[in-house]
Amino acid sequence: MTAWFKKISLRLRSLFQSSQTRSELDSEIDYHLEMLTQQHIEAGMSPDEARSAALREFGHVDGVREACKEAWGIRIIEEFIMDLRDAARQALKHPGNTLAIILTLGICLGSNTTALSFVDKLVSQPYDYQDAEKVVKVGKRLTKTGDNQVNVISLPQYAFLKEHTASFLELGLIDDQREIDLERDGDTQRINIDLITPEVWDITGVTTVSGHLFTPEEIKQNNGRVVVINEKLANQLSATRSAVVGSSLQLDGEPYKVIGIVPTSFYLAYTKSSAWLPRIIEPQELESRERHNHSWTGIAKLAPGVSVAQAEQRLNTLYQSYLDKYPQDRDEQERNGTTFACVKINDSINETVPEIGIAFRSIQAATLIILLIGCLNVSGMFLVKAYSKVQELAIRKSVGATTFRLIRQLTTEVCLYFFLGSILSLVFFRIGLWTAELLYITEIPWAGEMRMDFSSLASTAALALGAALLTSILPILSILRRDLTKQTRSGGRTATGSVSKHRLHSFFVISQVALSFVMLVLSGILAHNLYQTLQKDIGFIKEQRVAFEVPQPNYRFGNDLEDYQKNVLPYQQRVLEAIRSQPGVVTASACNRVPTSPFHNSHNEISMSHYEYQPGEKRANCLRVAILPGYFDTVGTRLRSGRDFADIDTFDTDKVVIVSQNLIDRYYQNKEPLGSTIAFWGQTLRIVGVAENVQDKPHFITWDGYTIYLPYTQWDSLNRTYTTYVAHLRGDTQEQVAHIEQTLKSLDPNITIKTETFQEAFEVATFAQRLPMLISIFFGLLALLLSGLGLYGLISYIVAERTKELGIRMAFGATPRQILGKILSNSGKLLTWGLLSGLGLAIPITIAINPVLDEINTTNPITFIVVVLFVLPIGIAASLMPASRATRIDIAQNLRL
Amino acid sequence: MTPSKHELMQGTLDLLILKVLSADSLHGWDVAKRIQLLSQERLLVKQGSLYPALHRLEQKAWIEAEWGISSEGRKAKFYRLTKEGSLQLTAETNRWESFVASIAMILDSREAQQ
Repeated sequence: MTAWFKKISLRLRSLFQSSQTRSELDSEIDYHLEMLTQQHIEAGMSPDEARSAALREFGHVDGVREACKEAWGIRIIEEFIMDLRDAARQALKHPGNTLAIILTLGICLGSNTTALSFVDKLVSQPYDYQDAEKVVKVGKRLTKTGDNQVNVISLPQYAFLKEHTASFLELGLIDDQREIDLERDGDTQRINIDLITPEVWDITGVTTVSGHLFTPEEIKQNNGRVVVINEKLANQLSATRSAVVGSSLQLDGEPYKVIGIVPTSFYLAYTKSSAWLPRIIEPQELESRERHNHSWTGIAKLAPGVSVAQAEQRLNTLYQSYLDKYPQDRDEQERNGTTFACVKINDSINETVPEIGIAFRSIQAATLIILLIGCLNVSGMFLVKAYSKVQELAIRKSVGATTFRLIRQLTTEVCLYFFLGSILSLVFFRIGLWTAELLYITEIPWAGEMRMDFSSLASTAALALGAALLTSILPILSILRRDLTKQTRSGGRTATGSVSKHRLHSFFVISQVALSFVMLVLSGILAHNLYQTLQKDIGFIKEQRVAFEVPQPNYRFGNDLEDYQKNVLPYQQRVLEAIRSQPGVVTASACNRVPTSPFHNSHNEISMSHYEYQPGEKRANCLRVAILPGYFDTVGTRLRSGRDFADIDTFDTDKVVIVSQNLIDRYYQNKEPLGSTIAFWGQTLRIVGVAENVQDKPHFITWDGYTIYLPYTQWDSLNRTYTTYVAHLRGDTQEQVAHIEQTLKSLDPNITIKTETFQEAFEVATFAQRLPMLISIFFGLLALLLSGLGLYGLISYIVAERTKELGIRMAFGATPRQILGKILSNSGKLLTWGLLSGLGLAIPITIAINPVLDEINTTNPITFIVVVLFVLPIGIAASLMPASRATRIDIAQNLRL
Repeated sequence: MTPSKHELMQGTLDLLILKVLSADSLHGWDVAKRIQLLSQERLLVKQGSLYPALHRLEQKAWIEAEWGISSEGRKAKFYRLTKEGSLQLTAETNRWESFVASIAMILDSREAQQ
């Protein structure tokens, strides 16, 4: 340890007090030489002779000094600093070139790191639980329905699993997407919460930043009135954390004790919750009839030594025992192939919404192409730089610099650019995050807090650096080996090895043009695809439509039928009247979900009075939407036949339903739907209307289901805890919204309102299409820009190198026009080859993706033609600038050189 | 008859320096003289090569240095063996002896064959 300390302190001293160390060495050597001289004088030599003899015996003093410096380990550092200074000087000498390289690197590294970070966070590792590999989502899989995801379970199923899986899993329950009123200083705030069983803490391995997590005993002692909140909410409540833990929170009118604070990055499911309450399962919730109420997510940690496949196998077997307990479910099992199943929590999102995975993988692919183009570009620029140095390097080599030393010098220069590029990439990462916000990516609940993934920055940079070093240093070295003498003698004026270097550089430029052509073709296709998507009839009007989600919590509105009729329905009417009373409101109504929303998805399998399902036939699965009269009118959905709901539809009259057109198309070809009945939950409903099909779910959720609309006025058990009021506004939407919110606040001071325009909901819903398209257009243009830069670099170099030749040509009477043509023919060749290779690459790719994007013809030649028309002018402009420089060559000046 | 002089073998200078410093704390000039003296002037040590070796050993913390006054009354840098250095000296000595023994064994066997 002390030896290490001594070594390090000596090394540091040599480095930072190098002048003192050097003068000490000098006095040591002087002393030695004096003593040696003295010895020779004593032996009878003259002082001069003695001094000469001493110097001879001692050896080359400078050599000794250098050898000592090497022993101090600082020579390599000194040389590094020297190289760095040299590189910086070079960089400052050509600021345009330097900026181009650093920008290219910054963009490439930044975009790649951003893409990798997003893919990692959103697709590969969305849940960063401790030991996440062992955490699984447990539920039901319907193997015959084609939808292979692990679905939610019912409470009796949870209880059954809990009882039988203890040997291989630790199981917990999540009751998510709940909202609750938080009252503070007379103000009410709506917050997202999850109800969970205490096992969930252990399964996720989350640790508190303050306080502790609830245990079964603590839940019992406090009658379930305990809450764990996240840091963000804690900061909102009080500046000091210690004041929050132990304090009481008024949640839905009841006091809850805050016992712990967890990091804000902690989340469980599809909602960003800020508080977690214990889920207490009541005995009546475990009754047999409750087993069809599937709303809960099972989460578990595998016991040590148990693999996911083993757990899945045992869960499969368990479903048979479950069927022994509830034999009446066998029919459903045979039809849907139902079984218990599990999936790694980090694979569960990809399983549920694979489109998100595809979207982000496509971004990653795009950024990789950009990285490739960037590498080619930067390598090309370094190649030019290195060639301009061949003469200098050759001279240095001939005066004794080793090849290793020269490589070090070139490497230092390349590394300096990469260092600056990496710093700039941080800025691009930030821009990436802003873009993500603009594109609603941060709305994805598990997006959480995005962090820069430094390991991916490092690996991307290392990859690009490797490529740059390889392409810029290897050719130089081969030249240095071959033509050293020729190079020094020629004074570097002849372009030694010009064929090979141009071939390499030309290959770089052609590849860049080809790759950007492919990128642009792909973005053209995606743009076309999005255009098609947006052209589709969504079945409602999104412009000037606004949704106001208002809760009716049980603690204020009661929870039985009488309360519903006495409190909820009149409240809805009061709110509607208040909204309708605003001058800018055309119409207003209410529903439980905004079309295209990914939330509030409740489904029912229905039976129809006239239709007999075949054995094993899939039941019609319908999305349930609760509405008030006037809804269709307000959102602009047309009723194809029948009537809207009306005041006559009450609890005292027959239950009625409006169904979507696609249900009619499928099941009512030979039957008049109006007046016929459907049934679910043992209730019979008469069809009174048929509505046109509506894009109910986001475009990124594949869904082939039907929609049934039920009136709020006939059901108290559906979505009674909130209502989404929808309004058709005229004029300035923002201003109207503010007025409406204000009116509602004055109507009910405890009200909390979540406002969203249909337009916003639609943008979120189409983001899976929008994102790859925007990203590919962005990267396509970037690719084009980069290849333009590459072309510019090469043509400038060719012009610079041929200055003399061109000068002579001009002296012999070549016109500027001829010169220009000569130079442009170079770039014309490169562009043609680039476009041809691009076409060669793009055609098979577009043919391959044609079946994926079934709505458009991906091989449409118009896309290719448009892209060519786009690439050509950029390419010509990039070469025109240096080419026109060639025509302004000063002949006299040039020939004197 | 003057004994023939030997070029120093690669790597042995470090061993010699450690050895001469094991007895005493010496400055560069004295180290050189001591090696000459102990080898009865049979070893040819390029004086200049002594300093890089001394500095290298110092960087390795096998020897440490201190400025002092020489017997000639001049300011000089005195080197002395450290604890790590003396361990190193033992190790190097053992290695050298085993090396010499191995070489000798081979040479002996060749003589026997002849």
